[in-house]
Amino acid sequence: MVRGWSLRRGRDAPPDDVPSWDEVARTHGDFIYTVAFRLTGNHHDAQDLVQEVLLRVQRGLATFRPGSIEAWLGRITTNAFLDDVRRRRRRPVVALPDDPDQVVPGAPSVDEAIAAGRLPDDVNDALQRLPYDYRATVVLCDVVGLRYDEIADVLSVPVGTVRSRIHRGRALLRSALA
Amino acid sequence: MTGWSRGDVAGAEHPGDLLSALLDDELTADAAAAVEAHVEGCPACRTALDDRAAARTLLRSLPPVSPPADFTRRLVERRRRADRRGGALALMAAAVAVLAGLAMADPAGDAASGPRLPSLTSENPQLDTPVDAGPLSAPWIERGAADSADDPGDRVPAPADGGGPSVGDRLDEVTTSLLDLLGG
Repeated sequence: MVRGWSLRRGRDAPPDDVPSWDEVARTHGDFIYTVAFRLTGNHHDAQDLVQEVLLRVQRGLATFRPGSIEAWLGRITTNAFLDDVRRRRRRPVVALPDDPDQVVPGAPSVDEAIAAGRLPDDVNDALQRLPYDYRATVVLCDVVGLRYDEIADVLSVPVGTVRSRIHRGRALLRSALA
Repeated sequence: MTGWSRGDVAGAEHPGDLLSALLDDELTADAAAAVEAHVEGCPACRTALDDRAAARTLLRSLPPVSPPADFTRRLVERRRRADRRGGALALMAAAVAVLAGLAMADPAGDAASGPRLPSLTSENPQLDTPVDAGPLSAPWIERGAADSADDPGDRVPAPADGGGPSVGDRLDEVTTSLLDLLGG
């Protein structure tokens, strides 16, 4: 049922050993949080997303399939994020001011140097300016580390769409930081 | 998968999103060689490739983000509290079901031979099993429905004159059992 999990616990682990919710929360909480933060761009939404992910983990532990647990958690986090985005889009949008502590301090200057000296906050802000489906695809590729076919499976889109979103998403990110 | 090969290098077609696929090692060896050959002779694609490579490097070098202090611990504690509440609520719901059955069935006849309270022990966890004498077919309901309004008191379950335990006694018993279970 969850034989893949034993890979992380050594060969002697019982084949039906199911990781407990506490174990997932404690051992992989930071990973889930990082993915959630890259998708949402702020701590408030990231915390809400992590709570939703852990609820889904609780329901889904028995269906964990062999493979990387981080890939599995990245999949759950991204799907929870996209579900939330789609739910919000169906509701009337109420314009609320952002948390003042989380407000983006203005777009980076075009003249600013890119690459090595770029602060993570700038990259994070640029990431948030991507359309959500591009952002999800790029995060699955460059933060979670999935392959194109795995991303296609998570998002239920063809591999060609994944390739196109990653290519376009990186271009948008690059121009946002230029 | 890509449909791109060396044959296309000489043509006008640019590799497009295969440039990112090249960076991500998602191309077959043949397609990768073809794309690289094209980039060598195409300044526009060289620039596009460098842009994607820069973005990719930036994304992949983003540091892990730590949740606020004790965020995970608070989540775990909240979950435990929710579990305890859930367990208690399930027991309460079961108790209400049992009592509802008793309240409906009790006035049906001789209290001493009335339905017995299911034992609230681990040997009998089926707390939601209906007590015998289905409530909807209880004679007192039919009688009550047939009665005229001049005898409303008959609808109210009267305390048993003697013998068997009253609903109140059973409520105490259920409460005690619940407390035992929760304490355990």
